[in-house]
Amino acid sequence: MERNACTPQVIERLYKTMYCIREFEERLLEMFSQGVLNGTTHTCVGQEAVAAASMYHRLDKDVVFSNHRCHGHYLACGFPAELLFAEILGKSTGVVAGRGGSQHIAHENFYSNGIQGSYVPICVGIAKAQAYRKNDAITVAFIGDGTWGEGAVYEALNLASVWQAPLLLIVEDNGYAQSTPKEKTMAGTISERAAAFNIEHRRTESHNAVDLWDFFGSAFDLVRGRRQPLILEVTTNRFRAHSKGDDDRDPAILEKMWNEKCPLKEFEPLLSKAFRRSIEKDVQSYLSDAEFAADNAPNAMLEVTE
Amino acid sequence: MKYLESIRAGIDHLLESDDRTIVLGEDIVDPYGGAFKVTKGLSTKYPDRVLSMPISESAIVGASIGLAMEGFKPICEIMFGDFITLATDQIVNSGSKFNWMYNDKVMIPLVIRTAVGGYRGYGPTHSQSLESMFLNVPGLDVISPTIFGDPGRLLAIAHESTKPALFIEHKVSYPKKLASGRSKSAGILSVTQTLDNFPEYRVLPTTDQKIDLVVIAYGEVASMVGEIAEELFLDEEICVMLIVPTLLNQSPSESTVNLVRSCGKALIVEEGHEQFGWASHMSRMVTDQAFESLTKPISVLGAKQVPIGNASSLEEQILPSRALIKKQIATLIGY
Repeated sequence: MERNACTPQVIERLYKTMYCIREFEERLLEMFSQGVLNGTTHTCVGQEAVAAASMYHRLDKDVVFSNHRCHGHYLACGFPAELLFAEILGKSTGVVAGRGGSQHIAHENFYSNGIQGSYVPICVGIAKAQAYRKNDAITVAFIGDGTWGEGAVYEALNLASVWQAPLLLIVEDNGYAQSTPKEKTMAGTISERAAAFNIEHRRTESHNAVDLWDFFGSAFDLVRGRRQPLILEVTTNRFRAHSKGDDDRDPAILEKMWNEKCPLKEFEPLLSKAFRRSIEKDVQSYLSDAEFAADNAPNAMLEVTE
Repeated sequence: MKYLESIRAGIDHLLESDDRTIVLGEDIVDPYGGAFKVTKGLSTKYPDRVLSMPISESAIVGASIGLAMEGFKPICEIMFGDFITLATDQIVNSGSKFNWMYNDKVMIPLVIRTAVGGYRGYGPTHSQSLESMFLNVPGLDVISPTIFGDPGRLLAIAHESTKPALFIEHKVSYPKKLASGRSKSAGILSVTQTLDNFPEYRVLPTTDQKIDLVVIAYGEVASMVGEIAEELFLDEEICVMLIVPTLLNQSPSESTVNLVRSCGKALIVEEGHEQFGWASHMSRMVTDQAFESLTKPISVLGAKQVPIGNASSLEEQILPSRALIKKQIATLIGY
């Protein structure tokens, strides 16, 4: 299938989405510093391009299953920031009324779960249901490089291949399983593992959302059209801690990432400074309203039904 | 009709009457038809909806959860109850949690069938009754069919529910005739059903005699208690009232508590390990409500806290045996 070239409208939307994710995450970290947030949070600062570019191609009928680091994926689907703020703040107006926290949300066809890899078999079942229905909906699962340590992933990939399930597995390889560098715990490569299950695998190292938009576009088309699984491996960079305040990486590595791998900086040559400022202003005002509404909502309460 | 035939007919009916029903499991398709032959013939009748699965219990339950999220009604089979541990993450952290943690936005109408229990000489990893491990998982039903009821109908009730269920079939029960199929004249015991949704059965000698002891049990040990009750009535004129619940993760019914109150004593038997199990908790719950009327502390009997040995002599010593149950009943009644 031929895909049209990236238009100015697409570029604008990608920038807006990435900026929204970045700002949302930075606001969360700020709330954390102020002691407003309970528990923990996993931000995706630095990884925004993957979420923005991939979810651009999502159709409402597609099912998306994300993980502990799901804020970017959720926001890139265009779902309300207010609900996610409220969820993280433990409010009754949250995505799932404070029951799950952001690691465990469900909104329309979007889900997240905090158990690494557990939802990959579930996604194969969802994709099988889509195959039974004979429509063109697909299932997208996001995992990290560290998730490849989980056995459930292999059971699922085998089944996805046997069933020829329309599953798009997006691997966000940020090089670290929590604190452990990938090289220390992963033998071989993801592409070899994909090959073992006879599943097509594609890889990119780009952190440029326009390149990624193209990369994901053809992947969505392939799974949607051919009704078969596909594994995408995207090298990305997590600028912040795994969760709040647990980063032992060399500050020099982080500084290099910020300077060389920032997906927002990539867009500086593409959009004028003034235009970027106007987008940013809109996003700031959207997020401020969302944060205010979430802040003022009532706390989650247990309804005793039994 | 036999226990196994009833389950098979139940699955057949659910496949026939509801095209959202999908059956998944290892070795379940024809000509093999499942390790215990429960699904024999079904893949021939419904080739698109009876699916042969790899030896991947996590994927079997996981994929079933995914199908359920999308509106299908999967019935999956875990060959031996012991293998449920391989799917435990899917059951505990996904299947049973999704409805509540996603704020009721999704339902998981899933039935996980599995063959449990010992007395067959299959050894430590093919003989267990691990259901107590799942009884304190919120969001999950644990359902035990019995020869005193209609296992196929019970499966249909589980299938109708929007909650995931662990449906524990007993290997020894499979070839047994259902009590309802026995001729009236041959049967000493009469069976009555209370509760509508997940039924509870009362099994009692056909007599007006006063009840000497209430025994609460489920699964295959309930069949054993039934046989013992028959013998005791014929040989000793002792009247044992057996109560057989089918939904295990619930408090004792009001009628059960009342029966214990009026009898003053009770024995609760399970095949699973006695320590920290269903019977112990049941005993606490009955005691809480019937304390004033009890003439003796409620007695509990289950498997010893060692793995289930392969040798039949070891099984006899480790699992609650007929002899041990009978002895315990005698002690409580004092004959």
